[in-house]
Amino acid sequence: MARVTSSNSCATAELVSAYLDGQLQPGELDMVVEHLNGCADCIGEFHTLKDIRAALRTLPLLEVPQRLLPDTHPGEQLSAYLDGQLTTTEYDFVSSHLDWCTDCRLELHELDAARTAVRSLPGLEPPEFLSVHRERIERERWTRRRVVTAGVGIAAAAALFFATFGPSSGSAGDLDINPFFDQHQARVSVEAGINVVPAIAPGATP
Amino acid sequence: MKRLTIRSALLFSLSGLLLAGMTTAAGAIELEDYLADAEGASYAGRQATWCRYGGQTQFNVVSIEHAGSLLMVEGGGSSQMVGGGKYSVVGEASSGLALSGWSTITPADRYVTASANSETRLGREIVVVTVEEDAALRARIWFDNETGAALGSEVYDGNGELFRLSWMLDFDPNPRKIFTMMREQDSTYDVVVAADAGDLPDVVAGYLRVDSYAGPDDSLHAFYTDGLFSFSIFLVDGDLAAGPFGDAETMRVDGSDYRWLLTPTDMWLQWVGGGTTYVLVGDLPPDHLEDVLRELPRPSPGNIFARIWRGLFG
Repeated sequence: MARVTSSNSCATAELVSAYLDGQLQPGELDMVVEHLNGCADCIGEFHTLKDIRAALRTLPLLEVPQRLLPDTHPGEQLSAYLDGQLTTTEYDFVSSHLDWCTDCRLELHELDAARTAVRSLPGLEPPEFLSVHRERIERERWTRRRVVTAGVGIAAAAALFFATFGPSSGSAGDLDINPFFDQHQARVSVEAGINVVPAIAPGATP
Repeated sequence: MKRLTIRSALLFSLSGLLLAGMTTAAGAIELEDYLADAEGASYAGRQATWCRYGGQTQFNVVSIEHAGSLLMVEGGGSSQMVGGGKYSVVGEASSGLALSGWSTITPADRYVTASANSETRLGREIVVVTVEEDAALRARIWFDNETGAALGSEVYDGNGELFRLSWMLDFDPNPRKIFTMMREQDSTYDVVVAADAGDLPDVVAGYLRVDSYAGPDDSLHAFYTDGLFSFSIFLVDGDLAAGPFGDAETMRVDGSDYRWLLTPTDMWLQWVGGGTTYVLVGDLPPDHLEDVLRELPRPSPGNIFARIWRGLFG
């Protein structure tokens, strides 16, 4: 707590507040005690400050109304809330917000009603002339699809043939034996057998 | 370095007995000593390696320097540093791999040191150790008396024919360049962590799965060894294109086809089974390799629907 300056002109009066806060520096305590013994004004101020602090400590804690807090409404998250696309943290936040925020509950209700209405709309039938067009387009598409399917089938058969009976160059990976050679060398170096001959890697030339 | 579990060791011992019959372990212990000395030897020189399989022959010469457990290989325009579970290419920062751990075993009981005779090669006193398996010649290794280095080795297949040969063309017991390279090498390492081996068997034709790791590109890497030869198998999800195996020849084992590549030091195989691509690399002789393949997941016929999907969508 900040130091309080006394209304009188006592030099040590401002130390009284610090005295109550237990914030006196070494040596100041003796000054304050000695001063309080002889200064009636400071004694009165001391008691006043003490009473005020006691009263402040007994005040009930206040909760800040949510409406006074910054705007933390879920807004666009409400739609995701309905779709079940929120993370757990987001879901918990929106749920707890809906518990007290009437506006958001109303908005959520309207959003849900609108979706239901859209889903219940009847399907539209195209006009007659468009149906004729559609049949022709479907016939052409079917013919084209059969040609494409036949092409894909031939290509797949060819790929299968070459993959199965062709050269096996395309594989999961190439075998590099040099790291194996290194590790074998390291192990053989501590082998007391006939390997008095230093090993030579395949393909190495002197 | 972790030690094998008792269960794994028992499995391996049991497998060795079942597959190789009753053999004496005394020779194996002697071979183990020679191999341990060779692993820690210091030397430098040029090494020639030759390998033949399935009508193909591979030959290579590289310069090597070996200091303790560290090996530097120069060839093909690059230098590689290998050792202590690490692998890196010299001069390329951030290109290294480092294993998080590993297990070791001794040579399997099926190998017997038949003889150890003294010779003189490259002006040096050496001992040649002959290794037999089922009373048949499997390998000969020449060890330098002074340094313990393996100057040469021969590996024979199941028919007694030479499969791989390696010899030092010149030999210097004082490696120099590797120490300079070690100081200059500034690689950061990608750590390879252990991983569960899934359904892969613990023992395959006498080879024990001693380690499994997370492999490159989300693959699984399992390492098998019998203490003398070894192989890695990598499992990758999916039916990958053959890559370098595209033009490779195929070998048929019990009706299943495997693509294979030959290098002077290793055989590489690739196959696809049950939606998984398998890559195997190792220095094991061909007859062992065939036995191993019989006990690993087999290739499956190509999935026609998978091929159709791949062909259509890549």
